[in-house]
Amino acid sequence: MDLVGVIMNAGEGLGVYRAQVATTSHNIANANTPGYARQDAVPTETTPDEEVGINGYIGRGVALAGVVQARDQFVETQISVAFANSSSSSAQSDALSTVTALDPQGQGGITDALGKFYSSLRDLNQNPGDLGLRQAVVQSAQSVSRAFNLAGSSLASARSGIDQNVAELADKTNSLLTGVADLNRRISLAINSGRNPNDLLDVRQNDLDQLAQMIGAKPVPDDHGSVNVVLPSGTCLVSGIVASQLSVQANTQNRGHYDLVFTPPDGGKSTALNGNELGGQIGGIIAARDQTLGTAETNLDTLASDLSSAVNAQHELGYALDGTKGHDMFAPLTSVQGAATNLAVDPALLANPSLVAAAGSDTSGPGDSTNLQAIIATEDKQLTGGLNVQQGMAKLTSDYGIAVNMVDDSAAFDKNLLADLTNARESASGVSVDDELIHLTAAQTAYNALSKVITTTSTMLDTLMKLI
Amino acid sequence: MRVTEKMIFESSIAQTERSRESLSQAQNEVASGTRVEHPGDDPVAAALSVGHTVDKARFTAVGDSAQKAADELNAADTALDGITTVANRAQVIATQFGNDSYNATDRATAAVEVDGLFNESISLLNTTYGGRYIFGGFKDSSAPFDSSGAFVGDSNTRTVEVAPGLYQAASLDANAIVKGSGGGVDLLQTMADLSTALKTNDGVGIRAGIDKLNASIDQLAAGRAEAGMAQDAFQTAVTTAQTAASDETVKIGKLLDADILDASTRLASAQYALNATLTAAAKTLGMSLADKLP
Repeated sequence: MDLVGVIMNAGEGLGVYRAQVATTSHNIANANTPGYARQDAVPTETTPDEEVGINGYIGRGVALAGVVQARDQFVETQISVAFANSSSSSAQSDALSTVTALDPQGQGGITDALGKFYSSLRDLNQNPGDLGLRQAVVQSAQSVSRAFNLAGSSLASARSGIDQNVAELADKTNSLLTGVADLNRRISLAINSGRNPNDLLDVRQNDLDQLAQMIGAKPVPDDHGSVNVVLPSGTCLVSGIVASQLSVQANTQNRGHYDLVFTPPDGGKSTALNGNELGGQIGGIIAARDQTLGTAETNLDTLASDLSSAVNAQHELGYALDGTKGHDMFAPLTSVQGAATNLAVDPALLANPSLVAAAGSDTSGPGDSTNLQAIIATEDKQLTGGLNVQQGMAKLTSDYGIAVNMVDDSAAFDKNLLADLTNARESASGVSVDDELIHLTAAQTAYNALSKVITTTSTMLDTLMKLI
Repeated sequence: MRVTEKMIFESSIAQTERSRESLSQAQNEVASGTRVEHPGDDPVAAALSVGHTVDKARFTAVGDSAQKAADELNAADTALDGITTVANRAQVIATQFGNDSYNATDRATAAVEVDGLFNESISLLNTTYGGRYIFGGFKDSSAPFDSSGAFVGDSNTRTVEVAPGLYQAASLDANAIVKGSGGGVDLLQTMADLSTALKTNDGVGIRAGIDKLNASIDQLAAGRAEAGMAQDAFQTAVTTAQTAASDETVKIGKLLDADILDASTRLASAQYALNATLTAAAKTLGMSLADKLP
C-alpha cells in the first residue's frame, strides 16, 4: 500500500469517528426523549486486505457499517401488553377512587339515613298521634330519599364523566392511528430505498406505546417495515398505510352512555366495540363505567325501588289521622332504572304529616300504631335477592369495595410489572450519558490518533519528495 | 444490568412517590382517626359497618322509646296512686258515715267531700303525658272520662318495642282498672252511689259502698302492679338497648377507626423512609462522569 493510500484510509477513519461523535451527540441530546432508542454508529474493517509479500496482509482501515438502534425485541413484544394492562387497571382505579357515594361513614349517607328513618318510626310508635313526631318521620323519609338521590346521581355523574373521557380518548386515538399509518408509509419508503430511518422508527414506537396505553392495541410488524395495529380481539385499526377511525355513539340500552364505534378504512359498516374487545385506558374506564359503577348503580336503583315498594305497600294499608286510607310514603316510581335518583317523599305526605298511616283502623283513634309497627317491620322484610334493606346496602357496599380493592391490587401489580419491563427496555435502549461520554472520549482519541497518522504519513511523503 | 441516568431518575421518582403515598396514608389516618374511609379500603369492614350502624340506630331508638314508655307508665302509676288515695278517703268516709249515729246534715256535708273526690278521680283519670291522655287507649286525643264518669276512650293497649320486633304493653286499661269492665267493680259508680246515699241519709247504701271501695282499691293495686311490671320491663329494655347500642359503637370503631398507635408508628416510619429516599436520590443524581472529565 502506498503512502497516499494510508492517508486515504486514515481519512475514511476520520469520517467514521466523526459519525460516532455525531451519533453520541444525538444520543446525549435525546437522553430524556420519550420513545428514543440509543443509536450506535457501527464501525467495520474495510475489506479486502492487501496482500504484501508472502503471507503478509495489510488492512485498509475502517468504514461505517451503519447507524443502528439498540432495541431488545424480546422486551418490546412484552411491553405493549404491559402498557395496556397497567393503563387499564390504573384508569379503572382512578375512575373508581373518585366516587365517595358509598363511603361507610360519609355525611348524608344511605346507611345513616336508613337508621334514622326507622328510628323516627319507632319514636312515632310511642306516641303515634303526635304531629311533631309525624313531621320527624316525614323529614327522615326525605333524608332517605336525598341520600339515595345523592348516591344515585353521584354514580350517574361518575359514569357520565367517563363518557366525556371516552370521547376525548377516541379523538386522540384517531390521531395516533393516522400518525402510525403515515409513519408506516414513510418508513417503508426509506427501508425500500436502503436507508435505516431510526428516528422515524422511534416516533412510531412512541405512538405505538401510546396506542397500547390508550386502547390496548398491539403492534404486528409485517415484512415491509410497516406495523399493523390490532385490538386484543383481532380488530385491525391500522393496516399498512391505512387507518380505521373510532367514534362514540350513545347507547340507549346502556342509559345513553357512549359506545366506542369502529369504522373500517373503506368507510364500511360501523360496529360498536364490545367492552371486552378494548384494553388500555379506554378499556379500563369503560370497564369501570359499565361493570363496577354500572352494577352499583343498578343495585342501588333496585334497593331504592324495593324499599319504596315495601314501605308504600304497607303504608297504603294503614289509616291516616283523618281516617283516610291508601296514602303512599314515597312517591310511586315509574321504573326501577333511575329509582335511586328519583326517590322522593310523596308530595301529599310532605305537605301534611297527619297522612302518615299509623293506624290499623279508620275508627281506632290517634293512639293506634298497629300499621306503623308493620311499617317498622319492613326493616327486616326480605327484598330482591332475599336480603333486607340493611343487608342489601351492606352487600352493595361490600361488592363495590371488593371490586375497587381488586382493581387497586391489579393496578399496583401491573404498575410494578410495567416498571420492570420499562427498566429492561431502558437498560437495553436507553441512553447512559456516562457511556456516551466514554464513547465520545474513545472516538476523540481515535480521531486524534488518525490525524496523527495523516500528519506522520504526510511527513514521510515530504521526506520522499525531497529525494526527488 | 446496564443502568442509565433516566432509570435512576425514574426510580427516584417512583420511590419518592411510594414513600410520599405511605406518608400521606399514615398522616391521614392519624389526622382523621379513620382507617376505612372508602369501601375499597377494607370491603368486609365497610360492609359490616353498615349493619352495625343501622343496628346502633335501632337499639338507640328502642332505648329512647322504651324510656318514654317507662316515663309514661310512671305518670299512669302516679295517677293511679292518686286515685287510690281518693278511694281510701272515700272508704274512710263510707266507714265513718255508715254509722247511723250521723245525721242527715252530717252525711250531706260528707257527700260534698265525696263529690270532690269523684271530680278529683275524673281529673286524675284524664291525666295527659306528652300531650295525650294516657288512659284513653287508642283514643288518646280527647279526655277518656266525661264529667259523669263515663268511659269514652277505648280499651286498646298501646305497645312499644322492648327489643327489635318485640313489643310490650305500654298503656293501662282504665276501663278495667277503674270502671271494672269485664267483671270488676266500677269505682266511679261506687263513689257516685256513695254520694247519693250520703245525700239521702241512706245508712244501708253508705255501708254497701265499703266493700265495693275495698274491691276497687284492690283493682287499683292490681293496675299499679301491672304498671310497675311494665315499667320494669321498659327500664330493662332501656338498659339492654343502651348496652347494645354502645356495643355497636365499639364494633363500628373497631371496624373503621384507625389504630392511632399503629398509624403513628407507620407515620414515623414513613417519614424516615421518605427522608432516606430523598437523601439517596440527591446523592445518586449528583454523580456524573461529565463532572470528572477535564
